[in-house]
Amino acid sequence: MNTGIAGVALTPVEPATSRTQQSLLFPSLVKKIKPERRLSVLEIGPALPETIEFFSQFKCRLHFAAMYTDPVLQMQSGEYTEAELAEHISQTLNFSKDTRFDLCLFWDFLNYLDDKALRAFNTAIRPFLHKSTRAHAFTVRTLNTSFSNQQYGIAEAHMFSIRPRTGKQARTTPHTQAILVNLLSSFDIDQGMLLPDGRLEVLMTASL
Amino acid sequence: MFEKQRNNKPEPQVPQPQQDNFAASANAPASSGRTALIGPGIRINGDISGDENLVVEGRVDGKIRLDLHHVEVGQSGCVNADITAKVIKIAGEVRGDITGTEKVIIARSGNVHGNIVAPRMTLEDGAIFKGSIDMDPGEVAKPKIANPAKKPGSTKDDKVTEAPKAVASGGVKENKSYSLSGG
Repeated sequence: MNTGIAGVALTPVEPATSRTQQSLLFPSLVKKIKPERRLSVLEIGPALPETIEFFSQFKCRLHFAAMYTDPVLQMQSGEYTEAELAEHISQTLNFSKDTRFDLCLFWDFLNYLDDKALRAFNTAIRPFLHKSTRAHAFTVRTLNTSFSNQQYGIAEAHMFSIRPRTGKQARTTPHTQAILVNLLSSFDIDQGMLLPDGRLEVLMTASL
Repeated sequence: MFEKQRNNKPEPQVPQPQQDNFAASANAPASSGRTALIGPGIRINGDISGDENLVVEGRVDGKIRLDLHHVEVGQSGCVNADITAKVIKIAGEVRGDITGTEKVIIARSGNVHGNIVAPRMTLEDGAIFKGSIDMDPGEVAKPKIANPAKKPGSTKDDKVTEAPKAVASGGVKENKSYSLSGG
């Protein structure tokens, strides 16, 4: 068994279909991490071995929310109010009151939320941010961009892993940058990088 | 310790737990080489503590505290309890907080919902986990930050690599000065 620099045992097994995607923006986030301080990270997706391995080099608390399989993705098309959705998301996330995330990894999750659900998500997550909270996400440049049914991990600071997600893909509601900053008002977009498939990789800072 | 159990002739109806990770551990508890087994037909309501290793193939509701020993939740095991032990391996289902003073392993068949505190953590491919992980590598290590590949189209091993094009998006705000983990 391989062992990482932090003594974390690494599991060499990877699905044959996993791919990687380079990131030119994410390394700038990693460089800003202060190793001597405990880092608090929200991963909105599922726990993946490579993500745990990557963060094992830091003193950190990793929270895996697994929101891609949360009922909110179905509830948003029902007759729930924004407040009800926000309450559901808060209960699902179930963060302790003193939680303040330094880094949020949203991946493409925000594009699975319609306008109402995204505002609700914004309401639910806002209490757990601080003024320096940073976030990474994928949005779109134009609304005709589609998202594949895939999940992301961090292989290296500049390299994401991409795995096919099992299960049926939920309906997507891509948000352009301008719409995203309106609906997700807790964040401002700092940097963006257009990807060949039309997605826009963005780094955000909390706007509290 | 675990070799010893292997040499014993087990009851034919009791499945043998997977013990690879435990057997490989160099720091097996010295005070007791014995391992208790909660079989798949057993259900325990209450707290468990003691001075030997534990394999759970049945169901436990309560707390498990074996600070100096190993706890394994086998594939048929279902634990609704907080677990504290030296090394914890989960191949079954656990709802509760887990503290491994040496290591926590979630096997590919494992399904864990709770918070984990451990200096070393292994999540095998296919394992399901929801909750938080507190990790502390000990001495502060310099983060591994590799420079982005100079050849954006190059692949890593046999994987397909998508390369971003350096096209700045419009309306992007000016870069701010910031630091992470700064509260």
